[in-house]
Amino acid sequence: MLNNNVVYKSQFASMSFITITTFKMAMLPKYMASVAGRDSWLSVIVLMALEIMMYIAVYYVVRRINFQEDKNKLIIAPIMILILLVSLVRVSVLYSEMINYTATTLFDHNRSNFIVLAFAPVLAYLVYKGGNVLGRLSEILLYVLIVVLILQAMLIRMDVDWTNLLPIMVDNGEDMFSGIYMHFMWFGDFIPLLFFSVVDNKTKALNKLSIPLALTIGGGLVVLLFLVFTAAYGDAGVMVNYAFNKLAVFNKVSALIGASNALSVTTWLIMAIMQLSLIIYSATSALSYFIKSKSVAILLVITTVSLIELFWIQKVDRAYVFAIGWIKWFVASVQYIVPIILVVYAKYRAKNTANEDNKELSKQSNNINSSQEKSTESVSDLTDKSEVNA
Amino acid sequence: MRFLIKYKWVAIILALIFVFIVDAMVFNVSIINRGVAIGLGIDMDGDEIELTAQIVLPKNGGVSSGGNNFINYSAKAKDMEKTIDLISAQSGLELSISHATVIIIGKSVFEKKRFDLFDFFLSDDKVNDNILLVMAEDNAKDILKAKVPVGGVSSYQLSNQLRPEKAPIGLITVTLKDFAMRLHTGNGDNYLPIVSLKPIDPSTDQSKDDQKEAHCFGLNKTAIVNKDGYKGTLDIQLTEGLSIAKMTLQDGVLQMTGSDNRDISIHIVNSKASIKYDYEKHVYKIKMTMITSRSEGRHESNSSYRYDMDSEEMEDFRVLVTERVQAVIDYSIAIGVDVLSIKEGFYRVNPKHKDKIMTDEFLSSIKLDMDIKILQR
Repeated sequence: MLNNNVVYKSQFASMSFITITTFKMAMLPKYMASVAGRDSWLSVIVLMALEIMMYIAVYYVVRRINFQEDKNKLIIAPIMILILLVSLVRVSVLYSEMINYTATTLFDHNRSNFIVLAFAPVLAYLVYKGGNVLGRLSEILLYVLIVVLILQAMLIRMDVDWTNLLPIMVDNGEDMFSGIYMHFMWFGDFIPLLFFSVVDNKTKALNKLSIPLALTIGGGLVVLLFLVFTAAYGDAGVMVNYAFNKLAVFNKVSALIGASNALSVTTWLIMAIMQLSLIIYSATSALSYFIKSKSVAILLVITTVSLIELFWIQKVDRAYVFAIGWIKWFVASVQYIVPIILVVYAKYRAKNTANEDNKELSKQSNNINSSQEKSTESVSDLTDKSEVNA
Repeated sequence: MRFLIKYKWVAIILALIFVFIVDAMVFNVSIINRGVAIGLGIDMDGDEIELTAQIVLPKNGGVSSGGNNFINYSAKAKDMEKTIDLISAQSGLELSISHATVIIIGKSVFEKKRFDLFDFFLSDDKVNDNILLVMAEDNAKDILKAKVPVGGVSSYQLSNQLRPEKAPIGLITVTLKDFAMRLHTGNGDNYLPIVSLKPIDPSTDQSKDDQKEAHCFGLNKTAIVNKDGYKGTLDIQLTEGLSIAKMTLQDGVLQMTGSDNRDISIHIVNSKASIKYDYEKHVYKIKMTMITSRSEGRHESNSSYRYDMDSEEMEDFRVLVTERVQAVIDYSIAIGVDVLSIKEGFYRVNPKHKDKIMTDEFLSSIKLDMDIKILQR
């Protein structure tokens, strides 16, 4: 039986796949197009490279320490506060995308307040069930996603003009760099994974392949989506709200059955709920470090997030303005620096543990030696005594 | 929270009740109260937009049971949102445009330069971007009103004609995505097919005995527009040239005179092409591979029937195809609209020379070089 936050490698890989893809396929292509234009796919390649580096750091940490249960308050407590703040900021921005998507695509009147109320108990329940339930759900969802992707790949029919990707860096890369630093909020997704501990699967193939496959396919899909999106829409991409949804209608059966993006819509919505649950899980885990009651932490975080959406963010446009403001520097700093600090800490812990183990070992060996000496002495005493008796 | 988990069935029932309450509160419209539009027409009346929506009136069994009735509703207002609201009010149904297959644009929309309307549809999350666009020779409303012969309705008939199994020569199919992509590029030089009405005999369908007239749609001309509005029309031959140059050919017949001075038809079974831009020599090079088959109009008993072109006919065919494409470039230069996006193509591979490339003089200086490889079936 696994502990609440201990997951198998394959489940960790599934969560990694969901976090690396979900919100990069929704509004980000449009946002990126409005800043980086046709260079947006280049910005994404750079950001994905950063993402992979961050992942390596996160994976190093989760394989060595159970961050959530570490007793070193001097190091862990400030990190928990930073993670709590960053998680709240990120969830506010990304949640508004999901609310807006549900409001504009599934409903008529753009009434987002009731949608916030409907999602809140779902997210709270998933987070309450804990890390390994999130891991298992992600793994189940991945199989559904594979079927959807295969179907989409088989049915796709789209006119793309690959020359829309040109010219490259016409302004010496200025647009590309703007695209990178303006959109940190949509990257650095692996912070929630720090709260998990990973154990090996029983199947060797899953152990070896699940994580490299999840990262390669997930990262590749994001880059491919940006390439196709830019090739299909060119400069008109700035008008297209949900890239994955709009691209999904270009298939061989759309003429027969009309709007044919139901599969992608449903799958994305479930993936979005999973990713938000993961971010909220990291926020509540960070808060639980201080207030100890998990239920209270969940209620506090969910209430705060819902109130932010209902009374402050309200519209997805406002979320975007907030996301590209000064807050992006805070988010980026925490997201990229915290894993590095934890890598150093994990190394220090490993060294310390090794030293302590050595000390313990030498202590034990000393004890054994002294007890052996004592026993030899007592044996010689006994021999002396027996000789005297004789 | 633990309490909720302990009494999970109570929690589930409460959650279900909550879901229904929330659903009722968002006033989500039931399918039976929706007016599903299958085609839209947009005209301008002065400064007002006139939107016409062709709506399905489902018979018992719903839309999918077939044999439905259709009705056209029109409304005028200054913006698109308002026209949609007005049609909903007229029909008593919530107008739903997510299933529309075609948008017919009246010529007046381009004359009034209302390109913002395309952005309205493109940014609407419910509209599919593969929706077809056509320009009405006159009013879009008249096209939607047309009585089509074979027991159908104008929107479906038009989208079937625009989206055949194989796109023949001279048929230009433009989706909202394609149109918007060109509209947001450079000067917005763009094109879309023109639909015209042709009277034909009514259907022989007995259930349509009362039908006194019927129309079919002509789709062999192309409208040229840019951000300055409507700029001109490509006739049948120029439209054929455009479909050759745009490399969308999957089927079609070109007529020419054979080596023995008889009329022959060359059936293009398939074609593939690639484009190269040589900035130094100002050459626009199209490399094309065509699979063709030859047939003769008149079959005379003393002549041998051939399926293959001889070398002289092949050369004539190359000249014919080149002339068609050259005619489109010449027309582009004449009206000042880069129909084939030649300038944009040169700019994309030579961005440093943007200032020189994006001029009318540059387009005039371009030489067409067509390298056509013919494979005979």
